Amino acid sequence: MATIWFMIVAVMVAMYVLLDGFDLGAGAVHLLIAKTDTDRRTVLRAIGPVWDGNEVWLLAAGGTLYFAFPLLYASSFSGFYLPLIMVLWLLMLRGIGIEFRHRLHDDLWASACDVIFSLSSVLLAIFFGAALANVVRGVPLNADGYFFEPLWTDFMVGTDNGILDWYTVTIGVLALVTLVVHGSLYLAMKTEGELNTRARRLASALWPAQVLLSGAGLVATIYVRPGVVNNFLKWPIGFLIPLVVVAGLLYLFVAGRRKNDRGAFLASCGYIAGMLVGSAFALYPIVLPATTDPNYSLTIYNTATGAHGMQVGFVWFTFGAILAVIYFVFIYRTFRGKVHVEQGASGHEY
Amino acid sequence: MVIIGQPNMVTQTIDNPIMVPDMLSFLTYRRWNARVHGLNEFPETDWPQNIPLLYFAYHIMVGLGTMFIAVMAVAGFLLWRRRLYGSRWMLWVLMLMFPFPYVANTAGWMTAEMGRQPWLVYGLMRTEEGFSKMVSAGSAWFTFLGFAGMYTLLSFLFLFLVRREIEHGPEPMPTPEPPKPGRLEPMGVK
Repeated sequence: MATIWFMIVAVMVAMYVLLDGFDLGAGAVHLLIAKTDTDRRTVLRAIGPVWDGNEVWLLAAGGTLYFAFPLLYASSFSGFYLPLIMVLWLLMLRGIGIEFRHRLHDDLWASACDVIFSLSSVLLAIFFGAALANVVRGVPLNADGYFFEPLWTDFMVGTDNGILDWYTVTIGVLALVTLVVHGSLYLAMKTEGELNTRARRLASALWPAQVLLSGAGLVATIYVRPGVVNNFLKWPIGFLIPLVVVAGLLYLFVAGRRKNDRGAFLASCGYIAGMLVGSAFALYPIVLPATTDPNYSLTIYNTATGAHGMQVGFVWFTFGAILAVIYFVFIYRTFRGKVHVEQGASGHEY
Repeated sequence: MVIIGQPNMVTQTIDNPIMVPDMLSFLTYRRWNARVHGLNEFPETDWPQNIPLLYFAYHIMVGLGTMFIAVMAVAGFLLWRRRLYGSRWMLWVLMLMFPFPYVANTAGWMTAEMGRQPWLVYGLMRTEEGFSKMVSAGSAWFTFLGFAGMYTLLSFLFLFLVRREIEHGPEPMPTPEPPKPGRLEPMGVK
């Protein structure tokens, strides 16, 4: 049962990155490819109806963690206290940037909101990459299962790690590039004309960087935590996951050449899902490795909630998941297709 | 039941109480002569820390809530009798009431969070057992000030936008038309 909950949390995190990932990516390229006010309102309208729903996957994943693995929740939310609060601030600022822009019809205000939206999206993408890298690399857990990590030390991977070191920053940059591509492709899919062309061109231009960083990330991960290959050797079916990742990358290139925006976006989804599922698969059954003593590592077994709770929770989770799926199908169907913004001043819409 | 008074922590009584006898028994147990357990029957280690503040937070919440129910009942009655938009005094009351829901909300939240002390989970886990030992006081201050700053900015923004909306005023009344029977007129506010 703990394994099922591990998979549920992994899937929810992956859903978050897939869905809110394109909002963050769109935010990151907002200033870069959306030049005019009409362009910018188009970008905001493309993510407007869905971004807050997407964000809820993060909260839901956190809530599920609290329910299914309370000790992991307690340990990681204390240990990552400051960076998590910073993520919260950035999420607030992003929401302000998106939702307050159209409240005042003033150029200076609109520019300020655009910058807030864009900057917080860039930082969130890097933070989330670094967060995942921290979980893969491990943290200095003590015998009670708690830890403290400063934001940075000497940027080396060793015994006194910071949240940011060369490894986590590398993965942070990989996450940023990945989400920029993801968000650009989403925008390309949702827009027309010059915006569409610029978005597609940016995604294609970043493809080599994405491939390079993925390779570097893989090598660095194996160097930092050689144990990540064990599960793949133990259950060779796991090698299907890197296959999905490589296929996603290749099709991303092909679809980009053919100007198939939807195909390219789906390829990016496949790539991201593969990367995240691969990380979860490699970690299992560990959920937070210890850099101090391997025995202090938090696993799904020593952090899980009671067996009865897990079973009852599973029943209710199923209902909740069905409702969430219905909601998401409904909202994405309602707002399918390209977005249009009428020229000139608009009312209370983006 | 004491409607309002001033808690005196030295004598452990309420000063200048305005009383309605037996009311609390009825509200709590649906019986006029039921015995309500006082705070003094619980060990002092299980008391919330700041009882006067808690007392006032709770009474502000309940007092304002009762006021809202009364005002809404009167306004609803006037709306039903189609006299609401003509009653200047009631419109004045409604306009002046607008800050109080925020006060009541805040007071209610304070009641919940102070009233639960010293428990995080009632009877199972105390607050001092629940805090993060790995988070330094400096970190807590840093984030507290950060939140305070961000919320201050947001409050100003909120007040500014609300002010603009109020200055904008209600939309002009539509041309008078004989009210259709059996239907309430919609409010003329956007």
